[in-house]
Amino acid sequence: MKILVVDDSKAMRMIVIRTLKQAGFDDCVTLEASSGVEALEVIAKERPGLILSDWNMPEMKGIDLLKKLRADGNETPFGFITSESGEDIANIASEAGAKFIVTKPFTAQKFGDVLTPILA
Amino acid sequence: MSTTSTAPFPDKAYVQELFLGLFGSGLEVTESDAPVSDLSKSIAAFYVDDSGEPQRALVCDLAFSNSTGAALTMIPPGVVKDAIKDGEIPGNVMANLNEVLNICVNLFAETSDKHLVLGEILNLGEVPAKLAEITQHASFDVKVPRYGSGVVSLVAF
Repeated sequence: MKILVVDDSKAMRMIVIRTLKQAGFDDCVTLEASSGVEALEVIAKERPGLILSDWNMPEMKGIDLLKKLRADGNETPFGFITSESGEDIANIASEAGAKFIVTKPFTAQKFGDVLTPILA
Repeated sequence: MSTTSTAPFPDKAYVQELFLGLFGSGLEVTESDAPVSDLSKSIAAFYVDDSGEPQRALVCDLAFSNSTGAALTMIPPGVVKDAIKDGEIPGNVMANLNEVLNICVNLFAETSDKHLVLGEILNLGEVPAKLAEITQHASFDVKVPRYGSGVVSLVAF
């Protein structure tokens, strides 16, 4: 499966990909995008099976990326990996169609817990 | 900065848990009586509410800035040693530090009743001396395995 990691921080994309491997998902192909706009291009071209996105990004926020995908009929599983926390954020994400939110900092164990049911 | 602390700040265990999540086992956090004092060699990150008003800040000394920034993506520890000696923060370390400071908004998740996001970051030489007059703070010494220790002060306005 292809997993798209969307984050404006190159360091964080690297850490997310590293943590995916540590969590045992090293057979997945990882793709990267540094913004919501770039993510749309990658999604159209590569058709990932899972999207992991930051919330706060310039140009297009993660939540706007998710809403755009769903408005276009794209139902690819989508989760947030973000420094945002709180019930309000979780509700907004859930209502927009997100499968989960992982708050930074995260662990390989946490990745395993939320991704295993999706990737199984 | 004086060493009074009347505003709600996270305790040592909470601070340690966040940094453990970032840097892994072996990391040690201790309460520091002395806040970051040399503001000319410090970084300051401001956390703003939904109206853009600063509510909290982190003041990071040179050692904390370099060690956490480098450790995030395992930049060689020697880079940190040289940077501290030269009074600098290399560009790639600073880019990583921005992400560390972004994540550090969660230091205030349970002690601020407002939704906060990372706002402005002031670089070396930009931190105003008047920040030293703010009396509400809590300071911690953070020791990152292989990278060394530095001090971060949590500030409330």
